[in-house]
Amino acid sequence: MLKILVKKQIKELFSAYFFDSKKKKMRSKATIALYFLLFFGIIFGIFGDFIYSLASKLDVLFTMDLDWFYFVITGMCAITFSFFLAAFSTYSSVYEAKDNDLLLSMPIPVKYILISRIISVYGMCLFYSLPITITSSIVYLKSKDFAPFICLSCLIWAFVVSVISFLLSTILGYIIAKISSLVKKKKLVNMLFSLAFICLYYFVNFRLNKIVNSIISNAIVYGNSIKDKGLTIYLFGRIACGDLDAIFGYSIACLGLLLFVYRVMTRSFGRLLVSTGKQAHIEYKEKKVAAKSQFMALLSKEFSRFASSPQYMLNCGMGVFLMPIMAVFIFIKGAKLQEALMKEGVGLPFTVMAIGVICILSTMNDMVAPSISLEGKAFWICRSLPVSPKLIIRAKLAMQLILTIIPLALVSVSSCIVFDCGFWDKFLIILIPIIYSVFNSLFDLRMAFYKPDFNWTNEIYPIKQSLSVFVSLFGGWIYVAAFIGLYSFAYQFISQLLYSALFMALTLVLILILTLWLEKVAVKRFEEL
Amino acid sequence: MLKIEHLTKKYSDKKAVDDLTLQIKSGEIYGFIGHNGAGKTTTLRSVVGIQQFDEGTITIDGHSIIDEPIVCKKMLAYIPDNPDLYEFMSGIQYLNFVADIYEVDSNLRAERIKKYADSLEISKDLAQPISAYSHGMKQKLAIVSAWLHDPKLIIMDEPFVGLDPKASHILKGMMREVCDNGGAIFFSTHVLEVAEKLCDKVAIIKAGKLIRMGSMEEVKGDDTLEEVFLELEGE
Repeated sequence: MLKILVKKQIKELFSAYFFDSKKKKMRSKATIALYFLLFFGIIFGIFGDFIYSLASKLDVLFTMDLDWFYFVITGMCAITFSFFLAAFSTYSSVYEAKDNDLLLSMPIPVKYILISRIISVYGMCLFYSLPITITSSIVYLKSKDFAPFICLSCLIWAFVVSVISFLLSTILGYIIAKISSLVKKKKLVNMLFSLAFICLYYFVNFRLNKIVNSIISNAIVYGNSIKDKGLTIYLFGRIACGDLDAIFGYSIACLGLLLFVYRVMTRSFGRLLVSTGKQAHIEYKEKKVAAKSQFMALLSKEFSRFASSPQYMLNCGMGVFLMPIMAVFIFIKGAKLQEALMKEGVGLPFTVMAIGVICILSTMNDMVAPSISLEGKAFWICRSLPVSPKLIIRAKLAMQLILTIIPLALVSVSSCIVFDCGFWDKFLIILIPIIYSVFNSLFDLRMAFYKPDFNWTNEIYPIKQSLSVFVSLFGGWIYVAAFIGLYSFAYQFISQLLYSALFMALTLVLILILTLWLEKVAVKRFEEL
Repeated sequence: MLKIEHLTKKYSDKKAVDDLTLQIKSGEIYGFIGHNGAGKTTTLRSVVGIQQFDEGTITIDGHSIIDEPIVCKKMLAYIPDNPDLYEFMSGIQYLNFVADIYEVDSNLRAERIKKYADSLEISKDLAQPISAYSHGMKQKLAIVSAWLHDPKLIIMDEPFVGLDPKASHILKGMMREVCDNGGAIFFSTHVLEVAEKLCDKVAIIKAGKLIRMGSMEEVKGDDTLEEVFLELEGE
């Protein structure tokens, strides 16, 4: 029975990999394997380089005989990263799955339902931590003579990292579920937790470079201090170095904690699922409402959906929150940031770097990518309404454009006020990110039509785990990274202004192509869904 | 009002609807009966324009659902078998959304919302999020939204499922009122007693083919509709 539930959960998680919705049949095993390879390839391709450079920066610790400290730092990074990515969805995928009621009504032990749910959470933690743990292990192993036992130790360490991240995610999910069962506004609790967590994450991330530099320059002092006062942390790092005491200690501790968390969760899981919480009944008082145009009605609908779901806002609309913060930050600390960007740019001119960074910020908004799948079982409403599909699609696109261009313009204007550069540089810093965000929104909309899934049991699947969202997010990054990266080859032949203008022209051509696609193909595709 | 001619819909090689032809005139309540998987929902979804079909034509008041979908959709309203509505909206937000799309002016919509929501007894719950509604309340909300723009043709798939007896009674009255005002209703049901009492005409579908249609008297003769249906199903 447990096997069936786990199989169902995994199939749901990776439904696009297993099932071809266009041909309405299961994919072949070879195609499934190819899809997974491609997915992992992209993940490692994108994060691998960043993690490799971070790990290489830390390899000075090997010369100080502080190998364990290296694993403490990279391990903490892996835990933070995977916990951050998995924690958002733990509560909703464990406690808010739409089929919880159905499964509870069946003669299935509650613990089996719980296990099948948390296995997918562990899968996410493992999946998100592996790029860091594997890459940092490779950097470490490269600096040592090959020893099978050390390889095995690194694998055990990677496993421990994923388990710790999993434990933290499940505990956070449990706390949110507990609090939600006691308060009226469940969504608000989820939203506040997630926002607080995101702020913390970005704070740490923003200071990562500073933290790493400080650790490297004071490695021996910090190392000794941890050895004396933080034995648990010390042992955590020692796992990968092949310390048997650490390996056994951590394995037993992890197992014990897993059992403890499992016991606590099984005791309350069923109770939390059937708890109705404290719901306030709001009585309707009749009032006159101004009529809206069809387009405004559709646009309002998209905004309502966005505003009603913390998951949607936090996973697909972080730019809405972060861009205004960035605008204020630039306004206050712009000069210092310009200096830092020039340093980080390593020879790249400031305008290219600034445009690139602002564009990357705007890619954090990809709310249109899951918007078609999010129609879910209510898709019949859109199809039966007397409006052209073009209008429905445009409303979806307009939501992302509005939510991106307004905060983006704040960042651009703030940059232009503070940054020290010429008129044309400022002009391009304002214009190119706006043009880019139009392209990015159109690209996200294109991806929304890629195998939409209307049969999800939890909105987190289309929002976070669908291929369309994945490609939208990373596709935007890759495009901007190519813009920045290619200039390191092109700078000998072309000025940064001309280069930026060419990028703008290319983006405009792509916008034209995507608009034509939208007008000619998207409508037909929508009708065929 | 509604003309379906030689409608055929295939799923892979299997014909879900096979050469179906029927006509519904203004003022008629037309019942559509058949066992599970007979092709009722497929037919209704094709009429509403939310499902493509392979052969045949569907016209509403002389307009083709394929060539003029928006004109057709403006004239009709649809209630599916499962009222999956926008759970992120409140009941009143959903009704206003539908009214905006059908371009119902604010005075008229307020009047109709009050009339239908009051009669179906969901007025007090309209400020609640739809996610908090029971199946029956969602069904009632779907009914109110369908009646909002005063459609000429209402297509309903199992409209009585989930409704309490009082709401079912009120819905029957609302259906009759539409037809008395020159509209038409085409609905599927498994409740044969309701169909027998309510419908002016009835069509029985089996394995995608219409096996009998006509006025209630023509179809059932001296028997009950249930007896006729079971007899035809057994053939």
